[in-house]
Amino acid sequence: MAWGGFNTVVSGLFTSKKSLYVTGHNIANISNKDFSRQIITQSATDAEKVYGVGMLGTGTEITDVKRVRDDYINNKFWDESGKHGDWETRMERLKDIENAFNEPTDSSLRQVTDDLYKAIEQLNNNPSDYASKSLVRESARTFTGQLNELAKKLYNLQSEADFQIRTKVNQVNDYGAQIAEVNKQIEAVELDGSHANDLRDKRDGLIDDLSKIVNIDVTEYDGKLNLSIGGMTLVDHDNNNKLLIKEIDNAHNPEEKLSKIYWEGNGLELKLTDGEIKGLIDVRGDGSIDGNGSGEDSSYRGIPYYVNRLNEFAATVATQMNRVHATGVGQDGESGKLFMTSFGKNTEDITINGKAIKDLDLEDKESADYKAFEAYMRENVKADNIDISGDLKQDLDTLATATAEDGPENNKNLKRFLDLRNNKKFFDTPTAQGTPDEFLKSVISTLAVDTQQAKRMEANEATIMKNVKERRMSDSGVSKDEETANMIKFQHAYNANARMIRTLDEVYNIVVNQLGTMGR
Amino acid sequence: MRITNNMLISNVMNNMYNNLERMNKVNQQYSSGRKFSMPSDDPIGVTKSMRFNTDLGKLKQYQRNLKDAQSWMEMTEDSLTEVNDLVKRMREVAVNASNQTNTEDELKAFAAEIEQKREQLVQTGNVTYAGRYLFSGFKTDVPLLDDNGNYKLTGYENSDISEIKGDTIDASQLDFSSEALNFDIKLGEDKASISLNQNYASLSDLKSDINAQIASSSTAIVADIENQVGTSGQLVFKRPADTEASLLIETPKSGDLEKLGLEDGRYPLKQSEVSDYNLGVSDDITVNTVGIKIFGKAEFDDDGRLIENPNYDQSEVNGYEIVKDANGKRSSDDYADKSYVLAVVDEFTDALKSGDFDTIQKTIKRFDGIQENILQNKAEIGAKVKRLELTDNRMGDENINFTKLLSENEDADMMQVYMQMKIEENIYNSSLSAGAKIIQPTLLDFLR
Repeated sequence: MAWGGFNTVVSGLFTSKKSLYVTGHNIANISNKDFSRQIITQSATDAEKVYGVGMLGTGTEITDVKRVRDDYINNKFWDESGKHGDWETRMERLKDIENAFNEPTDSSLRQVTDDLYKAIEQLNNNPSDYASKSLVRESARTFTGQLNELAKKLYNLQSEADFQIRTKVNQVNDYGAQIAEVNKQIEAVELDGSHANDLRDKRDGLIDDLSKIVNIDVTEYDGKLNLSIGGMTLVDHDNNNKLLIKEIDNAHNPEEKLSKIYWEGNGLELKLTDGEIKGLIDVRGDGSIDGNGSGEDSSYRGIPYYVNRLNEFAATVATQMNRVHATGVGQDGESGKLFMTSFGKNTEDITINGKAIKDLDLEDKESADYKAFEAYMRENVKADNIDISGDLKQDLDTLATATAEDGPENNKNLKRFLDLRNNKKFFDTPTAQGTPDEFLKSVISTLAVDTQQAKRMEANEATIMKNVKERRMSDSGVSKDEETANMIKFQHAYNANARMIRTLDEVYNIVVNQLGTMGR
Repeated sequence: MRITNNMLISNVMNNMYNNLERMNKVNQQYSSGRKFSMPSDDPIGVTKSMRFNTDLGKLKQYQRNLKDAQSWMEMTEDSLTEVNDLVKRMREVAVNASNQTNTEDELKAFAAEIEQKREQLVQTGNVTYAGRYLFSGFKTDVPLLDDNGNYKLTGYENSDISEIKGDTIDASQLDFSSEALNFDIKLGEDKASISLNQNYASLSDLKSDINAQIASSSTAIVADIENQVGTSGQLVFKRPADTEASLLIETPKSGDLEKLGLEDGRYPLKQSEVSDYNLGVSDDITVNTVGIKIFGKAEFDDDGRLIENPNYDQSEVNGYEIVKDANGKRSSDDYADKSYVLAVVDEFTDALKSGDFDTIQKTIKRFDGIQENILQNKAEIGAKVKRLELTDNRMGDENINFTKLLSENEDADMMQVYMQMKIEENIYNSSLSAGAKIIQPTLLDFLR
């Protein structure tokens, strides 16, 4: 009892000091983005029963230092972060595809198609002129070259996306391991019931970064954390499961294999609904012609879609132009030569159902010969291998300008070429898609609309993220002014307690030193 | 709601980024002069742009086609004028000669002049433009007429052929019992007429029959079968080793010799050999005039006298014949048609030399007919040239329209963009200064 009052005040002193420490900690971490402000829970210590007086208080103590963090906001953050990551990567990839197509400039596919037709028109006016024929050949070469280039650019984008996927999978594994480690540390610290505030902040920061890459679900039970992706556990307390990459075939560009992600433990496929990796996979495609990324069955229109359309363009242009060319007559008097082939093959190296090209009936679009020819072209001629035929490369006289062998001025076959341009049935399988110009326009406008949509969604998600971040900052952020005010509060408290000690000191001084010294 | 300093700073930065983004966009418009640079900036604008650019490109090409068509037709018109002048002058001579008071010497002088004009006529018929013969239809690499007034239409000269060998033929294909195959084999001036009218069982049967028929002629040509494999082989005609004359095969109808693996070629000039230039999507114009329309085809009666029908609408006329085979090509004028106009001039010349005044009288009327035809053709061309002029004007207007539409679609209005830029700059500056005021002071500044 004697020192009870003293102890009371000293407890106040210690409490104020500790409060100042906590305030100092808050201020020191003011620019730490993962930090949530910490507050103390102060409560009075148990009172003592003093006979004749009543319950006398014995001071104060700090029972807890906890951090202010709202789990609801956390979960919302992790949800929206995945969506934002998804749309952001889609937007970036689609912008890259836009750059590859390079509209509306002078070096676009539309321009070289126009130039090819211009050259044919010029030849129409002077069919016997070798300079004009050479111009047609060169324009055709430029046209096929541009298609080759464009296809290759898209393939490059595909392998870049694949590389990014592999990098991010490594990052996911990394984060998983780190979170498991922190979980262990948190458990050790919280054994005695205290809060591992800073460790939890660190863990939340790691989960923040992870949530952008993949969509995660977080549950905490018995103080242990469980992180799962699509129902499969990534981290369970201090164990983390890893993801691994297996190579799969790439139907569009067989030379570059693509990556598919599996769980190492049970070999199941990783299923994603959001996150940067999902965005990359959707745009990159899944390696098949008409699977994910191809636009079929309402899957996303990614690189496979655009490669498919370019292939369709190449094959159909080759088929239609070859049909007109093979049914015409060149200056060498021969008919049945091809204008464009895959890899620049010679006409004589190609047989359809065992027949040579000049023996096929290509005039009648309903004939079995023509249908077999069409199927062959679709199968073999792609945007990355289309080229003018070897015959045309060697000899300009094979260019079939005429419909009969009656003189070099016969340009009737060229007229058929030119009429093709305005033929609305140019692209008519599987559905009618109009003239070559219209086809290209529809590809570009699809790309433009998709990119615009990605931009808008990204902007939306960015705004939502900004709001969530703001709420988090509002809730858990350190306010300089608030901490300064607190600092002054605790400083005053400290001063007051110190004053009390001095007063009690004087009281004890009298009791100890001054009592019973009468007559000295 | 609890607001921290960090939130204030974060907000200021966010708004700064938004302002900067808008400023960047406007700056880009200003420096590039265009409303959009990527398709995603304006999908509809970009597709419109693509269409306008294509249409503009097409239009420019049509304008070039029009200029080409104009030059060609102007050359044609000039040539027709020349032909007309020649015919006019020849008519004057005919009128002079028809009054029977001229002496024989004077008539001879007229004849000499007509021969001169005749040469000029042939030259005009063979006029070229940029290396292409104007009146030869599709065969622009060969002249229309030869010096005799026959249609030439080939550039091939006689070459020395010692052996004619055809493609591989199969004995089972040689059935001539229903339709006989008749042809002549010439060796220089001598000729053997062959008629095949059996169903030949083997190639050696064919060979023996042909050799038997040759033997009954005056030539020493030998027929043989080479490279025989089973029932197929190649038919060969050879001239004797000591002869220098060339071998030639001729048939009345082209295409007959294909059954024997030999090709013969008759290359007629057809009225359908017209060149069309494109002036629009479904707008084209025929630029050339086929020589038959101007020079006609001559027909002779049994006495060799010219029939009055000029046959300007004859669907085809034959030029020199070409025989193509494994060895080379050879041309002859045996089956070539003669031009009506030149035939008239030739008869006129003969009449002058022989004093045949009936024919001279007829010739005047014939020249009238010829001139009328030429003027008719000239009028047609004149009308086409006029049409081209009108089309050219229209195209000029269209060009301006399309360019205007393209510009309205793509180009940024510089005044508006400049104003926008200034506004954005202002907004940026004011947000910077407001931000500075907000984020600096804290409670600490006011505590002493």
